Amino acid sequence: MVARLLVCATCDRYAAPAPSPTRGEALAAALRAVTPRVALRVVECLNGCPRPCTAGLRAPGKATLRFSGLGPQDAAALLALAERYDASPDGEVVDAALPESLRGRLTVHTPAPRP
Amino acid sequence: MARILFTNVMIFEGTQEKLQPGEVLVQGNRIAAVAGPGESLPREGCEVIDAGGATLMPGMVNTHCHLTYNNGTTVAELTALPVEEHVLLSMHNAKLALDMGFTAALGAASAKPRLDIVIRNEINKGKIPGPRLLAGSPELTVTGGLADDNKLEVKHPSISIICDGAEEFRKTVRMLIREGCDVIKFNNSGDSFCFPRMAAYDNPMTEEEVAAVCNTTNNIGKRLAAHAHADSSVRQCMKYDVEFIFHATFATDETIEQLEKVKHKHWVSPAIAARYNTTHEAADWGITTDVAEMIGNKRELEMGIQTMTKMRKAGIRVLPFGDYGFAWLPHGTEARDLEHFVNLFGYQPWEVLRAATAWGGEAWAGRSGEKMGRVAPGYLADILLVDGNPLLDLSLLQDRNAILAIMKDGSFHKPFAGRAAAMAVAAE
Repeated sequence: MVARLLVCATCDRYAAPAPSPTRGEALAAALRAVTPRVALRVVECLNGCPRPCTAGLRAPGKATLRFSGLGPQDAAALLALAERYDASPDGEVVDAALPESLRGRLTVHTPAPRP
Repeated sequence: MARILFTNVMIFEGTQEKLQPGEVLVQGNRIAAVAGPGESLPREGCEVIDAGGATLMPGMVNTHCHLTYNNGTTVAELTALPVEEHVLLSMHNAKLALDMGFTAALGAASAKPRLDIVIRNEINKGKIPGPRLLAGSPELTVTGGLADDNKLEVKHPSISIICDGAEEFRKTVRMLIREGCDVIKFNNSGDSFCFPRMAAYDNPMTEEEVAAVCNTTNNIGKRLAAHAHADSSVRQCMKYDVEFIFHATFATDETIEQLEKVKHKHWVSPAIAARYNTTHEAADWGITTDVAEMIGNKRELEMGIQTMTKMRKAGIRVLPFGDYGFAWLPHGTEARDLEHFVNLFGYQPWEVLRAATAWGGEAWAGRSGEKMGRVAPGYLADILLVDGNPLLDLSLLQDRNAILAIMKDGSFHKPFAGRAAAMAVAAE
């Protein structure tokens, strides 16, 4: 199964007034604009509310990765990362292999569960 | 009586391993007929919906639902919420649950005594959108138990009702049933969330207290749910006919063997996201993995994974979802539990989807005889249309854009607006 790039739709949850579209929806739109058929899931939350916007990568048997503090300008980097993640057997992407703009913004890194 | 015919659908029946192409006829609030491959149903007098190959599946059932939780970080935030605002919050959460494909929910504890009750009543009258709801009571707990946040010098409002002794529990159960609760919830174990005074493997309730809660509830024909991490908690649930065993984290092999013999009487709901997310994804709120380990949450996660893996092999009915409503596992993300069941417990996708639909429906209906949770004639027309095959990609159910239509009781909450090619995301 192709890995899914998840984007939080409700970022920035604490913004008042809440913009429409939300910042998360704007990031999703930027991702679609780069590659209309990207394997994208726009989910309600990725549990990174204090540091919007967030996007993540999850797949069975692979590490869970989540990045925070993102914006539409990060769309290309996220898509490049998604391809590397997809090609990786365990989803482990070392910091040096991350697109430069994503380094230092990895906020969840959970290894794949042991079988 | 309105007749709606879904055609060009791939059907997940609720108990089957694979999707089947076919058609589904809804008449009034029930599924009237289902056609299989190569068959078709009469169209006269029907609104025909061509779903373009979308998956048609039963609506999901959340059997461990806290609509009254506020996506907060502490119980204090929850109790500080005035009742007026709390009603509105719960109403919004009810709509969100239905928006995300949950057509039924079992209240697993209400943060104030009548919140679930009034939300259930308003949903049932058709005044507000939400899942079919069984109203949960507040948690019944003992002094010092989970959800007793008082200190010697400072009384603190609580989301629980504190009882000590069989008579206090008995009186409280009767009062809650009088008020309208469908489900009586009690805490016969601790939790890492009451660290350091009590661990999850501790059971603070006496045999007499548990008997009082359960006998009183069962005598009046209401439902029972227990916060039951500890092994002795699970054994009490079996002894006193508690249908819904929440967590069951520390059940021993011997207890699992006993539970297997009576598995037709119980449902286990691990609510594993509260352990997984707290251990791995709550650092932004000060709960790092190290903190999670210190308070015992990581141990609950690791034991929960072991125990649920064993329970699956024993054929015990384990249900997904549960305990969403905190900042690091907020409402609207419940369907991620489906991935946890696959990744952590070894479930096949069809098995966890069966648990989310057919089993959830059976659990919700209980002894009522109601038919819920399957795409079959006579069953309630609680139906989803999904943009892709969830058996190949469970994450579809986390994306509201991929949930193309939501029908509850034969009426659309979200009407079908077609499968936009631009929005179709490859699931195969």
